[in-house]
Amino acid sequence: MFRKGRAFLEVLAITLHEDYKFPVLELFVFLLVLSTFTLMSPASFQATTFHYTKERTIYTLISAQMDIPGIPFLIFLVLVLKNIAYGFGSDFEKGTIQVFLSYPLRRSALLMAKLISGLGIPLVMLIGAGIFALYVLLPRLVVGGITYIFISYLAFLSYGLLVTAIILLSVIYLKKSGAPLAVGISFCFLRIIARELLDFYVEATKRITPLKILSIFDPSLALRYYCERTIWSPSFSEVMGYTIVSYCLVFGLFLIAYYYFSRRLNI
Amino acid sequence: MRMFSTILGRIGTSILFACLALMILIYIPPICVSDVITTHLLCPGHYSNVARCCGEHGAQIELKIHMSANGTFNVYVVNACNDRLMMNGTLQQLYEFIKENPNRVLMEYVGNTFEYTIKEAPNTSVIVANKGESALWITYRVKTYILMVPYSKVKTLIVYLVPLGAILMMQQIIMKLRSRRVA
Repeated sequence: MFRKGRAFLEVLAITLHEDYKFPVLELFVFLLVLSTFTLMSPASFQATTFHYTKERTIYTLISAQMDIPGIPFLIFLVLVLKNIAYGFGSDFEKGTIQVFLSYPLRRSALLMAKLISGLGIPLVMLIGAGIFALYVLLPRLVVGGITYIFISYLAFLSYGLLVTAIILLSVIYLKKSGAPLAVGISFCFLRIIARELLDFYVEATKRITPLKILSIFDPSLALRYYCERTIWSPSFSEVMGYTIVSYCLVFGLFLIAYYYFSRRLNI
Repeated sequence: MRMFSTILGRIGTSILFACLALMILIYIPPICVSDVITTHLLCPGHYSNVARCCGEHGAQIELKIHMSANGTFNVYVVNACNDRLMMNGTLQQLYEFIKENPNRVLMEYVGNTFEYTIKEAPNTSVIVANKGESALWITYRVKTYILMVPYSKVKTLIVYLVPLGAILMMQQIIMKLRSRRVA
């Protein structure tokens, strides 16, 4: 047990060292803090000037960080793509994965170490920068609305995690870095294009079914309409429902990746 | 031990880079979002609330006020926003407020021109009172600026975070130097 724990820590340390060579981590922290404040600051002024409700204020601020064209969210995706698509994919291409597999460690634990480094750290950085900015700009909001902040982040992160799961699956399946990187980048742009097209379509036809379908993959859309109450006004439990369904999808994909990597993958 | 030291060191350098980002934000000058010039008649024995900085976003706002009148007026800068000093009232009401809350009067001024800047002061009002016997034509110009970040709060954070980051980074450097000597 102790030996396995030690091996896990060693693999994690190697992965962290590979993924975040100086000054990669610091540069991304710098960019995340700078972009988060730059986008959240005008949003906080807008929210307080127009006397938004607490929920809408939180949504406005977090969407400034996470929604289109949320630069901090793109920085997060770039970091995830670099670590998982490029980093993990290169391990397969160069054969470094063989070295990792020689450790007295389960394959699932190896994948866990890769995900902690490749996904866990960017997540902590993104959410940390967001909550830090929220606390500096509107401290009372953080103290009084931590639950809603948590739910908003869950809704906004769902699409990013879905893309990550797809990238991870394609990396493990293809054992290459190039194609999954292209898939990840196209999914980033797909979201932007789909949202713009959908806005236009919904405005023209007044049909909300496409919104409901897309909310399964990106529950932040349901959250947006819950706060803005324009053409579609879902209830809070509906928003939670979409978020739960979306996370079921995300966890399902991650489970498939774990299963495939642990049991089916031939290296 | 070495791994733990490396992790702490990297956290330290990350904190320093976050502080660098905050420092850049501090140096972004405030943006002027409104510039209002108003003239109004203030009757004798009355006061008027000419500028307010209310709520949490007060920390992100800077107000520059310039006032002039055809006579002498009294100005009170008070730490209050809504209370009974909402907009206008009689001097009697103002005196009652000052009597009840003397510690909330931040500044008092008498003259026929006045310039003041409210910086990152949530819940601050500028009140002009006419204690004379004739009505006053008061012209005031209020410029509203928004700050990218609340300067004083961010400066305080930097003051605490930079030494913390430096200590965490230094321990890693010392650890590395020691291990080199041993080797």
